[in-house]
Amino acid sequence: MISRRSPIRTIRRALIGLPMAILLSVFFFYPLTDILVMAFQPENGDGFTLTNLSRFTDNYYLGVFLDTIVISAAATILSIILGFPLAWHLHHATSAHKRAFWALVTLTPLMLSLVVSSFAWILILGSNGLVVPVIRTLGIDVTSGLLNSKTAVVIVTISSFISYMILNIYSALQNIDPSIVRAARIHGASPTTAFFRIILPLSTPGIVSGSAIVFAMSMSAFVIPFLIGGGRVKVIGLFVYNFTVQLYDWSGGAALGLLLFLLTIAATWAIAVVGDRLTPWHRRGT
Amino acid sequence: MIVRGVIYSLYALLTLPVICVIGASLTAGDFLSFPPDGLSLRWYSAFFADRELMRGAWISLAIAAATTAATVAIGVPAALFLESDPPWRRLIGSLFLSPLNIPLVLTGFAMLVLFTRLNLVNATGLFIGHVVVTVPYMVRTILSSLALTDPALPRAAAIFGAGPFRIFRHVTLPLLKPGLISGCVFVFLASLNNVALSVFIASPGSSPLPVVIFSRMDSVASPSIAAGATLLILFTAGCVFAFERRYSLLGPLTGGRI
Repeated sequence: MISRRSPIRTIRRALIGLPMAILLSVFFFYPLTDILVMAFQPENGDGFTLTNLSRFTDNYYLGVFLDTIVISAAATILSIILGFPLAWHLHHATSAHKRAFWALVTLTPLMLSLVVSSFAWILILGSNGLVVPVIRTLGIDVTSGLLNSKTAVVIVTISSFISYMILNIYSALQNIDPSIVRAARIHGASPTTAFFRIILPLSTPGIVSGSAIVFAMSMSAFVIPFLIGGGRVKVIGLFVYNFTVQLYDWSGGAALGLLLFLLTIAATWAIAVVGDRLTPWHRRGT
Repeated sequence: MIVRGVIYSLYALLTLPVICVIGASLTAGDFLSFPPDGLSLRWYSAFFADRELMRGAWISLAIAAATTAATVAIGVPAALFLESDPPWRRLIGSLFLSPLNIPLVLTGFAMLVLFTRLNLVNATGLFIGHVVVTVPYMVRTILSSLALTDPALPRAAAIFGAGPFRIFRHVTLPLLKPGLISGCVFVFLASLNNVALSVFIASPGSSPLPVVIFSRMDSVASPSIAAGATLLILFTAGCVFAFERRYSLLGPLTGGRI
C-alpha cells in the first residue's frame, strides 16, 4: 500500500492522541520526575545531595531490602509451583463451558480488592480463625495466631497475585503445538519424559513473564504487609508508604522509592535473562 | 485421582477468602469470626446505618462511574491514534501503557506530592488518579479489538464516500463495541476495588469504601466491615457474571501488545 501522509492529516491524527498525552504528562510523568528530583535534593532546599540515598545503606535497611527480596522470591516460586497445575488443568479443560467456569474461579483473586482479601486472610489465619484450632489440636502452641509473620505475608501475596501466573502459563501452554508432543510420544517418549523435555521447556516464556509480574508486584506491595504483617514484617513498599503518608519525610520516601524501583527493574531484568537461558530455542543458537 | 484432588483443593483455596468474608458477615454474634456464630443479617443493617461506610460506598461508585466515562473519552481516541501508525508508535505506545509498569506505591506517592500542592487531596484528586492508572487497560483492550477488526472495512466506507465521523460512528464503533464494553467493566471494577492508590490521595471526608475498610481494620473491626466487603464482592461478581458470557474480561489483562 502506498502511504500518502499529508502533514495536515498527520497533525489532525495526532490531535486524538493529545488528551492522553496531556493527562499522563501532567498527572503522571511530571509528578514522577518531581519525586525523582526530590530524591537527590536536600530537604527544604536546592542543590544536589546523595545523603537521602546513603541513609538507606546501613545494616538495618539492608535487612529490609533482603526481607523484601526473600518474601517476593518465595511468593514467586510458590506461585509457579501452585499455579502450574491450575494452568495445566485450564489448558486441558474438556469443554468451553468448563474452561470458562474454571477461568472465572482462577480470576477471583484479581476481582477482589486487596483490602478484602487481606481481611479474609486475617479471619482465616487469626487467633480464632479456621487454621489455628486445627494446629492447636496437633499440640503446637500458636496462641498469637499465625498473623504478623513473613509466612503469612507470603501466603496472602500468593493468594492475591497467583492469577497472573496462571494466566501467563496458560497462554504459553495454549501456544505449544500439540503435534510436537505427539511426535515425541510416537518416538517412544513416556508421558513424563514428554512433559519434562517438551512441555515444561516450551512453557518457560509463560513462567518467566508470570514470574516477572508476580515478583514486581510483590516487591512494591505495601497493603498486604501493612494489614497482614501487623508492623512486624518490614518491607520496602511499607517504608515508602510510611515515609510519605505518616512521617511526611518526602525526601526519604522518594529516595527509598527510587531504590525500590531500580531494584525491581534489575530483578525483572535478571528473571528475563535467566528465562532466556532456559528457553530451548534461544539456547540452540549459542 | 490424587492430582485431581490437589487441583480442586487449590481452586478451593482461591475461593476461600470470598467464602470467609461472606460467612463472617452473616454472623449473629458481636465479633468477627469464621465460621460465623449463628446466622443473621443484622450486620448488613449496621452497615447501612453506618454513615462513614455508606458515604464510602457512594463515593466509590461515583468515582468508578466517572473514571469509566473518562477512560472511554481519553483511552479510545488514544488507541485509535496508536492504531493509525504514527511515527514512534512503539515509544508512544509504551509511554501510554507505562502507568501499568510503575509500582502503585510510587504513583500514589507522586500524586500525593502533586495534589498536596494543587490542593486536590479530595474526591477530584482520587478521580484523576484512578483515570491515570486505569486508562492503560482501556487503551490495551481497544488496541486488541482493533487488531482483530478488518482494516478494509473503514477503507471501504471511505471509498463509498463516508466522512471520518460517519466511518467512526457506523463502522469503527460497532466493531469496537465488545472490546469497549469489556474495557468499561474492567476499568469500573479496577477503580471500585482500588486501595493501593486511593490510600495516598483519600482525605477523611472523601474516602472510598476500600479505604474506609482499610482504615478500620487496624482497630477492633466490627462485622459490618465484613458486610461492606461482601457487598463489594457481590457487586463485582454481579458485573462479571452479567458481562463475562458475552464479553471476555481477559482482554484487558492479556491483550493489546504494542
